[in-house]
Amino acid sequence: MKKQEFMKKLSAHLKKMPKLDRDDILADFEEYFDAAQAENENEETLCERLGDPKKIAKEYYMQKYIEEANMQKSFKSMSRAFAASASLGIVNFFYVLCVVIVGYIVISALYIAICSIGLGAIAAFIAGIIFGGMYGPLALWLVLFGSVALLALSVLGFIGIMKLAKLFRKANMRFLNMTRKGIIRRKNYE
Amino acid sequence: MNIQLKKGVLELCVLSLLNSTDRYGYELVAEISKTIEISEGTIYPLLRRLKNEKYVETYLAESSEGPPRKYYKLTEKGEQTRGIFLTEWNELVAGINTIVGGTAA
Repeated sequence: MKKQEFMKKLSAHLKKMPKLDRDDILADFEEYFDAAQAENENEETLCERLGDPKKIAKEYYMQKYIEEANMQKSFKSMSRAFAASASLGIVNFFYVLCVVIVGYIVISALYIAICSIGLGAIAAFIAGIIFGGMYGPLALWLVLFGSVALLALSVLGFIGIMKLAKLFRKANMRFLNMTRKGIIRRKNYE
Repeated sequence: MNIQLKKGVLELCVLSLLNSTDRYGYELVAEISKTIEISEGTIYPLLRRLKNEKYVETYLAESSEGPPRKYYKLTEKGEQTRGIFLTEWNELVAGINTIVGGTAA
């Protein structure tokens, strides 16, 4: 077999691959021939050394399927772990239902509260500029300074809540992983 | 040699060859087939997998003889994995030797 024939066969066997992947793979083999021929290897020996193009293509397909299966499996095991953690016992069921749901409600409420405070501060600032003059300069500065301080505090609060939400998510993940390990352990004992 | 057996150790071979220096595809393949009898074409799917799993990175570099070549470089993750594989391999070999050598109790 010559290089051209080898490449043609390999390309034909890879036709179910996405085009980008196929081009990338074929380029690797082109480079193989180029580099080998720079060392005065002849095409026919090289094709023999490379082996059956059909077998090579199969390797690529197998790999692709395994990668896809792995991705599905981790997603599946994740949702399975969630469902399983709820059915494992009353404590877990309680945790999943109450803590997760209530936790998210509390975090949402905190977000809403802190946003209202921030918006209120902005409104107070604008109101201060428009009406503050009526009550003298001291009142004006008090309102402006107060509203800016309030706004700064609410921004800090917002960041704090974001951190809290992240922590909560992490705790959930950790619990989930613990449960999953627990399931595996249980299976081993059974 | 048994093909399944070979496939398992091939990964360790590639990671080890890349441990000392970056290499381009043909160089890697030729180096491996010097000592292990294998269809050279099957090393390329392995290289692709190692790249997908972020054990190696690739970059293009000019060559004196023709078009630029794709070089393979070990990542930090690849380096750690190489260490783990090597330990596992040594343990496995030691274990097998105990059994086939007949020194097992």
